[in-house]
Amino acid sequence: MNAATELARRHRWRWWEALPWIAALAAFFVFPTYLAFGTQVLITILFALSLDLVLGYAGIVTLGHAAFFGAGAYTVGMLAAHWGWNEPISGLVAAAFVAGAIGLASGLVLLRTHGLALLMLTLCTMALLEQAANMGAAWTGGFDGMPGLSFSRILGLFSFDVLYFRSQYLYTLAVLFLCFVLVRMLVYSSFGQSLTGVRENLLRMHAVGAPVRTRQVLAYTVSAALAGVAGALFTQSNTYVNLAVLGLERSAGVMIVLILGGYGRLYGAFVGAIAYMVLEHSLAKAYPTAWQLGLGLTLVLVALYARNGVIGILVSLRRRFAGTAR
Amino acid sequence: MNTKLTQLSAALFLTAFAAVALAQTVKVGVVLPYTGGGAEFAQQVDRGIQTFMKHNPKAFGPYKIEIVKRDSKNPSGAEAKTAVQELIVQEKVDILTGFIYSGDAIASASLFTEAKRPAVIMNAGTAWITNLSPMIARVSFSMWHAGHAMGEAAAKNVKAKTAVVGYSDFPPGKDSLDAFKRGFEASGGKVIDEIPMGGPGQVPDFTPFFQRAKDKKPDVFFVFVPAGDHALAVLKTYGALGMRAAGIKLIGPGDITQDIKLQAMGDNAVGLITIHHYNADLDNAQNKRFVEAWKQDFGPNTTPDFMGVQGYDGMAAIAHVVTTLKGKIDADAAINALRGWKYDSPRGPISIDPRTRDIVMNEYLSEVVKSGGRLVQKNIATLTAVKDMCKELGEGRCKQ
Amino acid sequence: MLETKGLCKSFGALEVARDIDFRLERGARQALIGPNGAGKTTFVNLLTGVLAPSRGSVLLEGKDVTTLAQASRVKRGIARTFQINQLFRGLTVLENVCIAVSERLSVGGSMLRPAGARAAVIEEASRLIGMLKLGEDAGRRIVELPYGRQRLVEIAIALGLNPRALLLDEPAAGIPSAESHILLDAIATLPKDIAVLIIEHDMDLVFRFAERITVMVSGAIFAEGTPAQIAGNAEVRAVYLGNAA
Repeated sequence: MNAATELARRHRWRWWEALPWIAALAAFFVFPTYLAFGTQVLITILFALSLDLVLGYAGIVTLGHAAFFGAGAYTVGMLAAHWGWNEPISGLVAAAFVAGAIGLASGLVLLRTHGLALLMLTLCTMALLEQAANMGAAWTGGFDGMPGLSFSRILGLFSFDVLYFRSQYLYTLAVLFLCFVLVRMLVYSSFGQSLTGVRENLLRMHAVGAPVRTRQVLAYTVSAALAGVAGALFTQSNTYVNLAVLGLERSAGVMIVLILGGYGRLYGAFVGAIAYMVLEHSLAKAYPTAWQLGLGLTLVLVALYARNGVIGILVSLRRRFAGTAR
Repeated sequence: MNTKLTQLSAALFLTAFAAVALAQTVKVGVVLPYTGGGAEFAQQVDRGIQTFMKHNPKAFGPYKIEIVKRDSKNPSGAEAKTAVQELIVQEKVDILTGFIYSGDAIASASLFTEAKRPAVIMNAGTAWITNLSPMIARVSFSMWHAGHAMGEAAAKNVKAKTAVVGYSDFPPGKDSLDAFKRGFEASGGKVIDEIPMGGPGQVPDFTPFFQRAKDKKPDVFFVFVPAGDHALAVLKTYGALGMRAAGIKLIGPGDITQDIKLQAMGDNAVGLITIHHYNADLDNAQNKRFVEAWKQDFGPNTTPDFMGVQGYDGMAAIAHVVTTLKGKIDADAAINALRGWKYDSPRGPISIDPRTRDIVMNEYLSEVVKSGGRLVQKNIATLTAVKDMCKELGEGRCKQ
Repeated sequence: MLETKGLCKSFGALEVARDIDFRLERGARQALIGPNGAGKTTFVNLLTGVLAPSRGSVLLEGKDVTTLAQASRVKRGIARTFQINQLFRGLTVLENVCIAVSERLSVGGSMLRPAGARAAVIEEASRLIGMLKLGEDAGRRIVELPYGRQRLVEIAIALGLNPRALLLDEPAAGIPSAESHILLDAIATLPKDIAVLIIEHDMDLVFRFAERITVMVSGAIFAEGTPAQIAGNAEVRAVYLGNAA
């Protein structure tokens, strides 16, 4: 196909893009007892999607993304615990604003650096927030967290389902869909194209006169806001939040998920989160003390043989078939 | 006619058998951090559970116990909550137990209440956990047990008038500080300085904190830090600054003289005074039997510590529930069976407070001494039937 | 239109640009030659704002742009290519050029409209690609192209910025000599008022292309003149052309 026509059509929705959502809805009916876990998977997809915007598209390597997840998680938690603001959707908006603001402020400073210095500074930002949350234990509950949070009905209609997580699952799925549409729009826009430019060649991006730092900071801010929404959903669905939302483990975990699925590919977050979490969950169930071995081996194999993640394998297979067909 | 009768009797027999079989198996969900930073703790509790089940086969009467283990992984609470949720809705367990990290128990409390499943907490020590759900009973401890008792003992047994408190700046540390202060000052002592000494993550350089404590010249220096490397560093700094020669006694809760770490602490530990609800050197028949069984099962170089005995006692509590309810677990009846339950544990006599559903037990004041080439905890005094003073005094969230 | 006055740059004790007074006239077809290490690329970096001079100034159409950042100079019409390809290697040729064109049209930060829906950008990029005879490779990613073809993408990107002054740093390096005419043809089709400065070692190409030649040695301008003047300059022959030929 003509390259220009292909580019002009790239952003159009394709039929298979409906499949993940149909599958997610089907899972609601097929696995009614797995919806607590399912909700966690959906939240991880959103978190990984937010990371993909900076890591996969803008090429900003960060180990501190949990800072924004945590900021969002604590925003809804503290609003509910201290000010009785427990309306869930406005809570999400507030979380996005707070996390986005932290993303903007830290991005303005951090994104002056590159490489290892940037990596360290993202870690430091997260550590600072973690320590702040620890020191402000009167407000955050510290390690013990904030127990007994409650949230009002979603849209005033659906109450949170303590035991089966039905409403949490559908609510999270709906929020994920909206966020995905937003990210998809960004990725296919000229802005998204310029982010890939930043990732592919910073020097050249400067030389075509792009305001590189502004673009990076914008991407970082949007990504932080989305991570904040993921964190807020985490608190709302678990009705609990503690310091672990801010740890390195969460930052590194989401990065593994994204790399496993394939970064810079929009659907990598979906494939990675589902593959990683389903594997972990079923292994951990079967072998509660030794599951990490199996998971570790799988990750080593992926790192060795599928550097572009699961989606990368699929794409190269398709290329190979397309090549032989020609 | 004859065949009909046979069929009927066979059907009756099968129904009866099925009913018995159903009634006889009790499913127990165990939620512990089997992997990650808490794996060592989980192993202790898990071995405590195994030891009880293997060496007390008659405790469950005719009823069969089926254990379903789940890994709660990290201390975020969310993993534990998902594990509990699936144990309830998928495995349909009758009783839940385990819970090392307080956050795991706190996050899961709403599920216990909603699904009406009794939960026997085997570690999680934040004092107010038992207030979160009427379905919770705790066989472990609260941070106030040792802290408050140490405060009393420091004044009465160690005869201290003044104390400085140094603590790792996280909830157990702060709880310990509050508890010690209440106990010590109620018994006539005075806390003259409170020093936060960094977080629980990395081991800080304790020298400036200890120098500050030394300059205040207290009778005792009460230290709460996490077990392991922190405790080792504390002892080194204490020795290096010559605080013992300056007449300042180092005291603390038994977390810092955890049995499995004790031998690694070296001679610096000699003279250290701690208080705890268990140590492997306790001199009673139950404990002798327990430690012997443990070493026999898991190797002569292994030792149970307070977490091990908590797993053991937790299973004893569950056995009591199962036999009392004749294998048919009704949540309210189960919790009622646990209220006031008494047991002769390796840590001495224990019971569950009928009002608070929290443990009542002895606290042992002991000093580390060298005996036969190894470090041993020598009992100095025993405080009997110690309750969680946080709830007794109605402090903060402990208010009901 | 693009000039420098007393431009100096030193890295510590090392002087890489010494008091350079240079002019590039509107519509010029000029070449900058000199031995390796003469400071030619440094000079381009000073002109484009990648490096800040230690002393002296850079003027674009009489206005001092010395303190302006690279991006603003690009917006004012200074575009360059790199001695070693600096391309978006994972993207297609078309996307590479589209990124440049989008920036020039100031739509690169637009978040709402899909890049594919900007027909004007795609059309212009396609036109430039056709001009450089890259049409059949438009849909291929840079990594799949031979180096010589990649060089042409460098130029397409620079042209996509619609420059008034175009600085080409060894554009023919790595292009098979049979294909270098594509380069010259492309430059020949540029509007006459664009000034083109070419840094090149291929003297054949230099003398075919340039109407004026500047020789740089050790960070300073050594000689300047028409190709005939330079070719006839004995000193230039001695320091450079002699050993290049």
